[in-house]
Amino acid sequence: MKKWGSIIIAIMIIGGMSIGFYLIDLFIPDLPTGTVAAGIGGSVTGVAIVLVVTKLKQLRKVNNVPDVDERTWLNIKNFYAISLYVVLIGSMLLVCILFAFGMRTIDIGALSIYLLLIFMLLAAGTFIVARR
Amino acid sequence: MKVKNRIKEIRLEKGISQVKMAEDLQITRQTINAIENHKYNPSLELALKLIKYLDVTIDEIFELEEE
Repeated sequence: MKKWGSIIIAIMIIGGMSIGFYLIDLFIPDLPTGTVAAGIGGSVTGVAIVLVVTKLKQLRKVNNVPDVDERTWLNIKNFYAISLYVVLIGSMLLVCILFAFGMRTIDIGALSIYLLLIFMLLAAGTFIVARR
Repeated sequence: MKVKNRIKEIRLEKGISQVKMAEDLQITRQTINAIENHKYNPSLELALKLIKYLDVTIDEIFELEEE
């Protein structure tokens, strides 16, 4: 399983990218080539950075101590359980505040940036929690 | 009721380092630290592994602190 791990991750990322670009092409048929190239380039660079950092960490490791164990998974589970409530209540609060300020519609662009921000915060939080 | 353990004492008596124990039991050093400082109670599986690894009985290692 460990041997196939990287290959499965690569297939998943390429599969996800393909579905993403197919959907983008469906919704926005006249998308500039530069944007598509930036999307592909960014994804490939991101994956490459993660793979290189993982490999470097493996090479620098002097002992056989694992990176994760039962306590790490428990910490991550607790973090997600808490963040679910924070995200739900926070989003509701945000909608209420925006409504109180007289906003009646939300731009899809703003919504996608908000979701991106949540994903980034969750990823950063998971990283910090996994290290504790 | 809080669970107390004597893992640190037994480990030091046997001259085992945290890193060696982490490698042998395939757990992180932070987890050993948390267990030894009574901040985390190990799962039953890990508790049984600890008993076997340190070659002690359950009463020798874990104790339920009465309130």
